[in-house]
Amino acid sequence: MSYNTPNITLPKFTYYKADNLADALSLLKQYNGKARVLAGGIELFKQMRQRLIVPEHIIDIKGIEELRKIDVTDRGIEIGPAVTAVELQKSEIIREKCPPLFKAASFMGDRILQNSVTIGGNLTSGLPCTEGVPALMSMDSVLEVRSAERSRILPVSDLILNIRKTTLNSDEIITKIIVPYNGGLSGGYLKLLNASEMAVANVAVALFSAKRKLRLAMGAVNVKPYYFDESTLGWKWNESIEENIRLALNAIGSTIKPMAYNRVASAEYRGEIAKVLAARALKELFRGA
Amino acid sequence: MRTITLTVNGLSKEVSVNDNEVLLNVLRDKLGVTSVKAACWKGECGLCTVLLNGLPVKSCMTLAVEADGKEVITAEGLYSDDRAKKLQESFVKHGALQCGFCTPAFIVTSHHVLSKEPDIDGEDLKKELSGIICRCGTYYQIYDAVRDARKYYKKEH
Amino acid sequence: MSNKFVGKEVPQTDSWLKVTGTLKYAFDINFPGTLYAKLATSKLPHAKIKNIDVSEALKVKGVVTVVTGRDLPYRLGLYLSDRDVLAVDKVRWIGHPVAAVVADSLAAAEEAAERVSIEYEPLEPVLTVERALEKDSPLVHEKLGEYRVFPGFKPVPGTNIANVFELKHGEAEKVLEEQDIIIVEETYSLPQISHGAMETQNVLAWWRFDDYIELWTSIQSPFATRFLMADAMGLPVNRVIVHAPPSGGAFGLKAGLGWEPLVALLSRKVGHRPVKLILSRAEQMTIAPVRDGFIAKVRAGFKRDGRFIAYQADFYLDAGAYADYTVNVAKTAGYSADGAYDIPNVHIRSMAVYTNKIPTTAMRGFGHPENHWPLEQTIDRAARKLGMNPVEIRRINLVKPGESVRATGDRVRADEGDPQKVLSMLADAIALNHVEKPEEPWKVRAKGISLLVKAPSQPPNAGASAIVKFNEDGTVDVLTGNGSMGQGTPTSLAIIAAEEFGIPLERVKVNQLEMVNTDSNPYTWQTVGSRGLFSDGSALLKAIDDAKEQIRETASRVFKVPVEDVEVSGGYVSSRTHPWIKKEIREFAMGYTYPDGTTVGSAVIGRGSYAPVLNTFLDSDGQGSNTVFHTYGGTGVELEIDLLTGQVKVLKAIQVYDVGKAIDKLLIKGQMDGGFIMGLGAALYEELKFDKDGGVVNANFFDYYMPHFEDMTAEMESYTVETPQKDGPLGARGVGEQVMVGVAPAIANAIYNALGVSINELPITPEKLWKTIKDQKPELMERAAKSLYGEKIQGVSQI
Repeated sequence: MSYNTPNITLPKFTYYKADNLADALSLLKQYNGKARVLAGGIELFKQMRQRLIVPEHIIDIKGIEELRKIDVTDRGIEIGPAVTAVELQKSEIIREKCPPLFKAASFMGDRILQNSVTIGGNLTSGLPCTEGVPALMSMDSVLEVRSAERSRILPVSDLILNIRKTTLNSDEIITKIIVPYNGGLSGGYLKLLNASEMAVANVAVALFSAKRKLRLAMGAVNVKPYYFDESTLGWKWNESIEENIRLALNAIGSTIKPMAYNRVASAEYRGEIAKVLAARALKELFRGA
Repeated sequence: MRTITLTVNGLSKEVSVNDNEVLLNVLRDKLGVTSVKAACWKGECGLCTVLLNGLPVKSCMTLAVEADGKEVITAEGLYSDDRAKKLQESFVKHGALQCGFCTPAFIVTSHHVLSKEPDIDGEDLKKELSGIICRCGTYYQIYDAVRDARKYYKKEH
Repeated sequence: MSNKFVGKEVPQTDSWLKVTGTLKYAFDINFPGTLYAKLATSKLPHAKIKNIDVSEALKVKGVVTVVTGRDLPYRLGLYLSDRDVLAVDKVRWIGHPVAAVVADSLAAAEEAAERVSIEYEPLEPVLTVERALEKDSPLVHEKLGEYRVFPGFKPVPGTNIANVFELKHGEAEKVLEEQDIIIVEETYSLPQISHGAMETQNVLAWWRFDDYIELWTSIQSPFATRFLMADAMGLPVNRVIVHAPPSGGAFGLKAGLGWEPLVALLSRKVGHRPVKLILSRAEQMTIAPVRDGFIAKVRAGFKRDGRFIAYQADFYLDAGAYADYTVNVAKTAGYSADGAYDIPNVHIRSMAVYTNKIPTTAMRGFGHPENHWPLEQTIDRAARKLGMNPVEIRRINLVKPGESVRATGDRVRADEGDPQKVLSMLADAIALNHVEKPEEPWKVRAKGISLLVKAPSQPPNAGASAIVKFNEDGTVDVLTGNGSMGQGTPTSLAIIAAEEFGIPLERVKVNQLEMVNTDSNPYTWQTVGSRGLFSDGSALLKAIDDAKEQIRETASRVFKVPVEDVEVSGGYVSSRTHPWIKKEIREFAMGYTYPDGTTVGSAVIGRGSYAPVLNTFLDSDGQGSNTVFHTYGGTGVELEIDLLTGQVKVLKAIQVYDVGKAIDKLLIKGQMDGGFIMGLGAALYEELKFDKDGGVVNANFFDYYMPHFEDMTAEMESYTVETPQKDGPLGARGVGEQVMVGVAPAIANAIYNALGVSINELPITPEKLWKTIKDQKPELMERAAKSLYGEKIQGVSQI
């Protein structure tokens, strides 16, 4: 994958600003396959300038109030897909209750882009290096996905299908991101770059100490993210952190299949960095716990 | 084509745009606001940054139609803001520019940052300004200029 | 004379236009009715063009014309006319422009360019220097022997060698075979990098109905652009009128000749309407020239006492498909390969080699980032072998001004700078022997230094000229040909004029409308090589003298004293012998008018010009005198290295340069700090990456990472030394390019000194350093890993 494009202009399309979700879904149904949803637009416009995608219709969902909210409900924390990276970082709820996402949000593009980048756009870009996917996976998050006809729940871990491809159908929109915990967790997020703005690896960790649940999710290492919990990490609560990190790194090392991808990093380096970041993230997590 | 309304540096403008036109081109080519530069046309360099309803956005990644009804502020417009003028003066004094091509973007962005957080310093300040590339490498001078201008953005001033 | 402005911190004169965004760059200039051009480019690295079908492109609404290479039979180039305007008969790299579309909007032009259909017959591409130099390699330029060659360059027809330069001084090979010589032998390389000028190349051309051609273009050398274009197209030089607004960064990219001939010809083709071409960033990094790739195979010999006794090196510059400027980079890297050192035996062979990759051109440093990368590391590696300190080994080998002879046979002038002082200041500031331990045990601190010297690389007749005009109120307008791209030379020239006349700086203006126009500004060869202040400043001082002479003649008649008795300074014209006879300069601006209207003299307009004295081309052994000044400098760094990730963080950086005379300390500091940042990018991040067919894959700022604000991690200390250059303007030398040369070797030396690992290839990315440590010193990594994972934290069972 490369971002080279000779073009300065965007291809032609018709723009719709949806006022409510029903309108957006019906437009998406009407133009099924020929329309794209505009949330942040960063990845979308890059791909359009490159003519990788040439949608005839663009449906802007940023004006839909219900997609821009962060709420605490009985399902946990509900985040609208049109919430921007800046809004995530300004939110007390996110800061207190979703620390991996709070930290990841500060890496979603630079500070200026973060005013435009949305969590929904970040997730659906389908890029292996996306920040949101591992951050949300570490909190066992799910997505509420809707089309004009139906609604379904999709675990974040099942979202990425391939590079720039997700498991969303072309008439579907993410309408809610649901973090199924209302607080009580600590967590972190780490990312490493290698002479490119594309991550070599990124790691999110979350610890629900009351329930003795530990999660570690890892992006950029391969096309799809990796997910570990206390059992797949081989975690032993009565052992020291150093022993546990050793066990975890063994488990991670025997699970991940790092890729050489886009000349950003070799598979070997990716794999090692993933482990280093995992170790540091775990260490920081327990030092802080 | 559709007609949109933009308030650009305080003046209300009606302008006809195509749906696929970005704010950058409408500002530069149709409204003559040439302080808004471009160097990558894909959100990576930050030179096309403008304040849209008070928030810095990269105008090459913003459709003109998305900006309909909104307020745009650029470096030309900031000259009439007393604090921003002092910020500009601080850039001049500190030599916080060489070729000057990225300077308008740094001005609008640092104006936004100081308006929001006049005590900002150190790594936080660097991070806030990380969305704009200066190939001449004037980061040291910009850093000093913005820090020095903080006093004008504090309440007592 | 007490300096009022010289040596102070004066902001650039166009600063307020820059901070308000109201300075007009070529990018901002447009006329109603301007048409837009877009290029259709080759998808293959090397192929015959069998057919170009433009019919689909012409169908796009708004398209006016599509032009192909055969329509434009001109050959372009500065030192070697190896460039076509658009590909003729064959394509030479992925990105080679094959056709140009002109349309009434950029959108239409872009759509049409995608519809130009090109049919190829693929040829074997030449993708490496090694392959290019093999006997059976395909040729990138079959007609090399027919190209025009500037004196002093040696292309080898029938090969891929665009230029071969040789420097012979003493008997390097023989000495290297002698007993008791410590040999340091290595191969080093640098990748192609992008200039990264923020304003991409853009040209607005209007071929007028009277066959004069006006160009508004983002360039650094208006007169070279004018001359090379007129020369290539067989036009009288003054038929081409170049308007050169300030450039949004240039760094060598915008020297010589760019897209001007193409866009002018398009303008003629579409009925003399103005046409604008703006390169997108990807185009800038795939179809326009970048900096050469470089390989150096060096062998150096040292005596036991540390004396650098012999240096033998072969340099190979991967010039890509065009080498019209890179031939001189090869020559320059060759003749200046001995750096700041007095080496009695030197033998260098430096060649520019064609490949089917992106063309290359001048870039800031011009051969010196290339040749200092091996040289400065060689010194540190020798020091380690000899058990010497990097400072000490440099101290005993530095040239001695007034005594030493360079490898070109040219004497090192007594007034050309104080390299020992530069070294001392650098050594004191960086304190190599005091390296602290970082908090995290998996990190290591490191310190390193690098010295450098650089002279402008220019033809022996690279002249300059200046005009000083007085206005009615005694304000002064200075005209020069100096291009403005952020370096601030026009401001330095204004300072010089204000100082010399003794008038307020605000009353001096350099280059009207902040623009150079070849119709009204006087000639200068190019704005390159840090030559601007020195050359244009020298011309300006002569113009000032000329203006003063006119004032003195008038005043001698008014004061009724001999001309020799009249002095012009401090804003006044006075008699030396009768100091009470004194009038303001402004009273003589248009000649002196008595109360009754009688007027003596006339409007004051001074002219001055400058040319290098006794410069020649170098002979076939690289011997001769071809430089006007040398600027010495040094860079020191303190780093923190993460042994587990290979990440390097610069904690402290020192820059020291002998500028001769600091005209404007604010601008010099800006250059030193900014040059460090640019050098940091080249050291740690920047590299154009190629796919298996030689196409650039990271032609954007996402995949090609240049330093951002967060990379400003180093505490920065910048120092100047002022050893006046006798023939420099007020003693000054240039410094704009030098400032980035030493960064990469200083960083590599720091890593070498701290870890004992050698990195011979740039950039030092985290992965590369990680891999290097892993291969060369795995025990360091193992120890670091233990320190990360081995630390005891309370048992997690407690939570």
